[in-house]
Amino acid sequence: MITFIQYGGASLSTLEGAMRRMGFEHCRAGTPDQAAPEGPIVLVGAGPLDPACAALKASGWWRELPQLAADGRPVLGINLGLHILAEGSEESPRGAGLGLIPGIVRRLGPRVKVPHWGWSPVRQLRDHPLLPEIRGGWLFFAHCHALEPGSETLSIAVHGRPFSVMECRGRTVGVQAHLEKSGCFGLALLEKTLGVLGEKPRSAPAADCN
Amino acid sequence: MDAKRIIPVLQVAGGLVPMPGSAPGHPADWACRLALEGADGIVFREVPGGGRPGRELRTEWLREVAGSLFIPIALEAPCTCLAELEEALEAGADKVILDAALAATPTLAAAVQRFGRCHVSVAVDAVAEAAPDGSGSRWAVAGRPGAEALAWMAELEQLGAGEILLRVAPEAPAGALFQKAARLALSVVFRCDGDPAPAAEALLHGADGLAFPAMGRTSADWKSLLSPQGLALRQ
Repeated sequence: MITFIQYGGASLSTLEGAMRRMGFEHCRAGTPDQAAPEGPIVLVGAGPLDPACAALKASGWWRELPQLAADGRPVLGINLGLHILAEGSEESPRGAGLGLIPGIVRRLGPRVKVPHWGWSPVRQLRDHPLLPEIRGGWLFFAHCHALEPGSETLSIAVHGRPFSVMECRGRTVGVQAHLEKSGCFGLALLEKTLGVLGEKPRSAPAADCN
Repeated sequence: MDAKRIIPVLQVAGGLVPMPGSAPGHPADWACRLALEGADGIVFREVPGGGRPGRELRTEWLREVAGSLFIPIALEAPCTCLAELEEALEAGADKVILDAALAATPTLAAAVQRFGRCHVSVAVDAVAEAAPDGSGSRWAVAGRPGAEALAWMAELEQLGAGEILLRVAPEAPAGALFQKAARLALSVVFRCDGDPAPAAEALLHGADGLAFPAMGRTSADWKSLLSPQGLALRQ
C-alpha cells in the first residue's frame, strides 16, 4: 500500500484521485507510525521549503524517512518533495536536505520567467530498465527551483538551462514534474514509477483518462 | 520550449456551471470534458448566483474536481482572506487568482509568503485611455485610477505575483502591450473574449497562454486555429 505523507505541504486531492483511477491502494500518514507496514512512501510538496521542512521535523518524518530508505523502503518525492530529498537547496541555504538524492537545488533563471509554470517537453538522458521511453512527452511543471542534472538523472527539461526531471537512486525516486497533473502521459509515467518502486494496482484502472 | 497554454475559463455559480437554456452542470463533469478536448489547464471563475454560496461549497466542488481531473486547476473567486485561499489550495486548486483590488492590499505579499509565488496569480484589466500629458493614449488599469498597466504589472512582479491574467479592452491593438509585458520575469496569460484575431496577436507578441470562455470554441479548435502561426502548443 502507498503511504502519502500528510504534513500540510500540498493538497493530496489529485494524487489520491489518480491512485483511485489507477487502482492503487493508498493511505495518509501524519506521523511515521501511521504509515502502511510496507510499500512506497510518497512525499509531495508545493510552496515554500522552510515551512515544509519544519512540518516534517515536527511530525517525526524528517528523522524517520532516511532510516526507512536505508532499510530498503521505496521513497518517491514529487516537486518540492524532490527538493527535500536532495542534499540542499538555494531556497534555504542554511538548511541541509535529507540527502537521499545527490545534488543541490538551484533557483531557475536568470533571464527566464519564474515561476516556471507550464508544460515542457522532456528529454531522456539514460534508460531505466522498468520505466517507459519518455522522449517527446510533455509534463506539467510549477516551480521556482530545480535540481541540477547529475549522475542519477534519468531525464531533463529545459527552462533557460537544463534541469532534472526525474532522479533515481536505488529505491528512491524524485520527480520535478507534477505527474498527477500531466494528463494521460503523466499518469502512465506515475503508474510505471510506482511499479519500479514495487507497487502494483489492486484493481483494474478506469478506462478513460483526461 | 514551453508550450503556449490553452486554458478554458469555466464559470461556476453556487457550485454549478450555469448552462443557458438548460439545467446547470457539475464542475467536475465539465472539467473532464474540457480536459478531453485538449485543455492545458482550467480556470474556474466563481460568479454570483446559483443556490448555495459559500466557502464550504467551494471546497466541496473543488475537491471533487481535483480528484478526477489530471491537469492544472486555477480558481478565480472573491476570496477575502488567507484562510479562504488556503482552503482552496488544500482542496486541490493549483493556484488562486486575486483581483486587482485584493492584490493592492497586503494580501498578495502575505499569500506569496505563505503559499509561494507558484500558487498566486493576479487578474489585471487593461483599458486604453488618453495619456495625462496629451501625448496620445496609454494602457490604464481598470479599477486602479491613475495606474499605468505596465508599471502596475511590474509592481505586481515585485510584490511576488507568480503570473498575470491580463484582459485587454478591444478598442486598441494589444500586441505592443504584450511585447512589453513579455519582458517581465513572470508569465502573462491573455484573457480573451473568444475573438481569435487579438488572441493570436497576443500569443505572437509574447503572451504565455490564452484564457478563453469555455462555452465557445474548444481547446482543440483553438489549437487548430493557432498552430499554423508557428506557436509551440501541446498536442
